[in-house]
Amino acid sequence: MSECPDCSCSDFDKCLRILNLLLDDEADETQEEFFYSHIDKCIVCFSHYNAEKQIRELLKRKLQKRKVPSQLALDIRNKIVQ
Amino acid sequence: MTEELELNAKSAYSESKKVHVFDTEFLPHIDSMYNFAYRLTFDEDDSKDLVQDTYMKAFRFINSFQEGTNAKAWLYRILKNSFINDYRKKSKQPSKVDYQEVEQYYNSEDTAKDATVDLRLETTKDMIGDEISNALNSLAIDFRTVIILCDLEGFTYEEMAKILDIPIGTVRSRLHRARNILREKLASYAYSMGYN
Repeated sequence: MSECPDCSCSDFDKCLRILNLLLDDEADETQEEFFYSHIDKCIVCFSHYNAEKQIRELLKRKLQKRKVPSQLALDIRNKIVQ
Repeated sequence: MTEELELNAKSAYSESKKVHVFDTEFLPHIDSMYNFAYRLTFDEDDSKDLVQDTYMKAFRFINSFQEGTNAKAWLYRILKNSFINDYRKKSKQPSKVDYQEVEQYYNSEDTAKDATVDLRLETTKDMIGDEISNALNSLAIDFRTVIILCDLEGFTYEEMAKILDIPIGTVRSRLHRARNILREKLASYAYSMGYN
């Protein structure tokens, strides 16, 4: 158990753990309720939540998808039906 | 007995059915597979070879695949293992670091201190794709992989555990560590851009 560096969280590790579960869609209902009500009272966890959310959005939005070479699917398919 | 029945049931595809399953369940994932391969190898030709090998293996073992189950996760697993077993050996990438030790450390220690690297929202919004991409690509392969699987491909922790052959707890701790390192790298980019 550790204290939040800047606020009065009794268990900052727990908050971080739940924050990650929440943003990865892995949190259960109790954890969700706990966290959303907690960030109404804790600016530090609220900031962490926003920063983590932003990083995930950045990765999704800004990483360019490479175009698959047009022949690849055809080549593979030709090999398997040979 | 049940397993035996299942195996029998699984090996019942006719030749034309095999091709049908391949076309409808496997090939639609080729975009994601190619992108995953590229993020592992950083080379177009190696990516093509890796994807091709993956699909050939999947076809060879198609009888162990049940229609309607998670083809994408299975293909990712094959690709990742092919990369580890075949491609990394011949590539010039540095030898593998054993992250188990690192993970055990991070499982047992307070995690709070790592999360305090300050990455302000206003510093990330102007980052371009290249910076994000460089930061991600500079992560060690095991860390890069969990970020790709979770954040780009949206796999669940359970699916990731199956793809990577590691316990769910290790998925969580590896992701946590990977994100901390990524955050540190993005923060240093932000610093070099004149923020702070």
